Amino acid sequence: MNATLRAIGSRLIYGVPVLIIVTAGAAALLDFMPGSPGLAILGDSATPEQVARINASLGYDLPFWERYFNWAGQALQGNFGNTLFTQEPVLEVLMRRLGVTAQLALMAMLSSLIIAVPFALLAALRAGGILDRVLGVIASALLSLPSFVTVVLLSLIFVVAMPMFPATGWVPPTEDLGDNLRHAFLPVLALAVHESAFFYRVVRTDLSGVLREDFVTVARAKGLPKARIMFRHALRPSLTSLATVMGLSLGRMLGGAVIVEFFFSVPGIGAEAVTAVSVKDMPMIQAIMTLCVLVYVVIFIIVDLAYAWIDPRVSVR
Amino acid sequence: MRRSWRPKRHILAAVAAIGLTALVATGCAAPADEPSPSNTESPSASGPVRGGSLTVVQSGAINSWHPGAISAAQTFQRQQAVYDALLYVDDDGNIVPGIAESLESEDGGVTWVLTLRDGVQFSDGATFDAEAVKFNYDVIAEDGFSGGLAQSLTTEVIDPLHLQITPDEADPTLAYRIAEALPFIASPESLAERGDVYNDPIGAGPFILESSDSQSGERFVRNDNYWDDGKPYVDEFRTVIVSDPAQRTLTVTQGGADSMNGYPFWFTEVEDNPAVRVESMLSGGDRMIIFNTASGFFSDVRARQMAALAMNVDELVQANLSDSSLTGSSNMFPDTSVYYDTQYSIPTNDLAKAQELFDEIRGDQATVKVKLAVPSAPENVRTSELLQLQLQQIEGLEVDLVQITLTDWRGTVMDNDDYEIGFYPGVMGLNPVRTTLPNAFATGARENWTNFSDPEMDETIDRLRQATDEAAVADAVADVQRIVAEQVPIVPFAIDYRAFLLNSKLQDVKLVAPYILISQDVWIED
Repeated sequence: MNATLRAIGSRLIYGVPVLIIVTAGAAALLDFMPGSPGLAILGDSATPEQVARINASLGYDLPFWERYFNWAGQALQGNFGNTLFTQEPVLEVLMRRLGVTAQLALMAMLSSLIIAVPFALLAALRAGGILDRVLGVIASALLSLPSFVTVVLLSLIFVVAMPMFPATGWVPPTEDLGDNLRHAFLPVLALAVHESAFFYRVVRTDLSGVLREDFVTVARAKGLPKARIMFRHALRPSLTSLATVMGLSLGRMLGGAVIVEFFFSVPGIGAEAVTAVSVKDMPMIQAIMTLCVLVYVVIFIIVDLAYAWIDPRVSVR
Repeated sequence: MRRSWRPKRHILAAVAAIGLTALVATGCAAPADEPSPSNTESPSASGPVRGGSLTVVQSGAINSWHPGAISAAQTFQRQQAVYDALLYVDDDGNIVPGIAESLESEDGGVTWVLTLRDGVQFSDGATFDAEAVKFNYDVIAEDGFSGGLAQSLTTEVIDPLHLQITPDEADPTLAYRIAEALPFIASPESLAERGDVYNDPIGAGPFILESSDSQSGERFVRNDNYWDDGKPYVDEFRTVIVSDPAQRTLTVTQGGADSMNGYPFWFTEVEDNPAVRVESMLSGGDRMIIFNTASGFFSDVRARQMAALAMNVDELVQANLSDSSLTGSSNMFPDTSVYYDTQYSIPTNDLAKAQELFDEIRGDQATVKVKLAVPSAPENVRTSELLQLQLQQIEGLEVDLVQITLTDWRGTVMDNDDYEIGFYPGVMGLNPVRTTLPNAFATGARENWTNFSDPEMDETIDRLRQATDEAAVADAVADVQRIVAEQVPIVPFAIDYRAFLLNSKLQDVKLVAPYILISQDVWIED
């Protein structure tokens, strides 16, 4: 347990320089972007003096290093400032968005695993057979589909051709769970299409290697049923790669599935990031950057711990 | 002999069951959204029905609730729900009263008197009177909104229901300018506490803001103290935010919203859907190409004439609106307008003459390169690519296409004059002419993007501003058109229409500038 805690602590510490580089870069970017927050608030008809006044009151007339240190000092105390237009606490808005994105990401992850792992097992059981080849082709096709094509295709099928699901929008689960699931279906499916193909390929590849191992040959020789061999002996060693790609996928989705959220008008992190960048809402941009770094650090701590659980021979250092 | 267990069949069954779990769990639900509303009272045979929810889909979040911050239809629509407007401009270009009774001048625009309605209150209980209007205009001037209009006015309270407004210079068009830039009045108490950003709007409009989210939209509830008894008819007004135009259209046709505005070509495929209907309004403006008349190649009037002659406006509008049946127009006004005259159409589509002019201008230069700035929306880019091809039919002329994001257009192109020829994003409004033409063509005017400066034009615009009857206005407008046709600071290529996609059950929809519907008048058929 002490070793584990040390491992977690060291990984958190390694994340700090990454966090500093990413957030400082975001603060510096403001100086390179045309326009300013004051201009975004007041609009085109404001005079330069009025724009400068707003920028000064919001602290955007300071050099980037001074802005950054002011922000960092407040952020360490849990204060990420207020959003530019609505002046809501950034942390509150971010948590709302994160809740939505987290729901989509977790549902997509679960759906992808439910689809990918059984099919990978089936294909591996009959390696080289028709099913294996067909699933391989389908996985390749789905992997090559860009997400902006996927969302349009799904919309054409499930909204235009067969109007089963709403085109856009979001209902919180606390308001109406059934409606929430209906609104979540298409965004989740759009995310799961790519991820399930990805997971399938990873598990299928690992299984084909594991099934050639000596211990599997011994298990067959003992006369164990195929299902027992697959689930009890072959699947577990194949999960280490899957754990890595799951971590990458989850981090990517939690950072904001931008195209999916934008297309289906889901109020998640991705949509918020697009809006924040377009209106130069620096407090929100920096908070999102911070969140992305933290998400990846935490996820890879979990992945490392998962390795140790999957394969007891591996120890976390 | 014991029958062996067949794992394959069991595995297949398990896979089939598990693999369908997610689909079944989310797919089993209530049927697709019914068009709103719910909870309406029994239909009335002779009039509006109270109840229900009106949802308008918007392309983005509101920028500001400040009563002086009016940037686009999406802001105006939301502010209208909370504040109502003092005055509106209807789709015929006429001033109609809103929360104010009238704004009139009896001395040719030197002074104006705003007459308010008795008994109107803000939703926080404060009285909507002349002091409140004066306070708002003072705050708007101080905070830098309204494009300089509030700063140019002096206000004096005559009595609680009358406010005298005196512009810096006599302005017969002030009513239009106030309807456009200073229509909204917030509760003075709430405005006084605004801080750097006013984000808790209190108005005297038909609805009260209940919740707001920059990604999901707003929810407004009926203001039971609204001055116009019986209105609004709907219980609730909502906005939803959908960025993609095609998705917005789907949202309305599916019943997820009741109204959206857009371009007519967005709705051609859903026109026959019985759940919706399309209504159009003349936007009172032109789509156009603009020239930087102050510097660069197009500072020479011959170059501008040459470019116009190389253009085929029919092809440009067909590309822009994706409709091959459309006909373009290089005239500033539609043929239904009292100001329309074919002699003021800018000459186009004569390549031989264009080449002749170009050869005259270029002198010894083998090649002339110009920069065509285009705001990076798909319809603008494809039209500009066509324009590039049209111009490059002139031997020796090379056109570089430079895409600029919409958010950076003002700073990069307009403020820095960093363009030679440009595709104007949006529409140049012409309604009402007495404010829009001066804004567009007077030397140094705030929307004179072409930097056009001509003494005869300035004199004509002064005449237009001072005109006291329609004949004088028409005469001045004719001269403006003549000068534009001669000097070619712009080339209009299409008259602009805006369309609204509406839930078929919406009744009494009144469309006003800038492309919004008046929320308190709408009711929903049961």
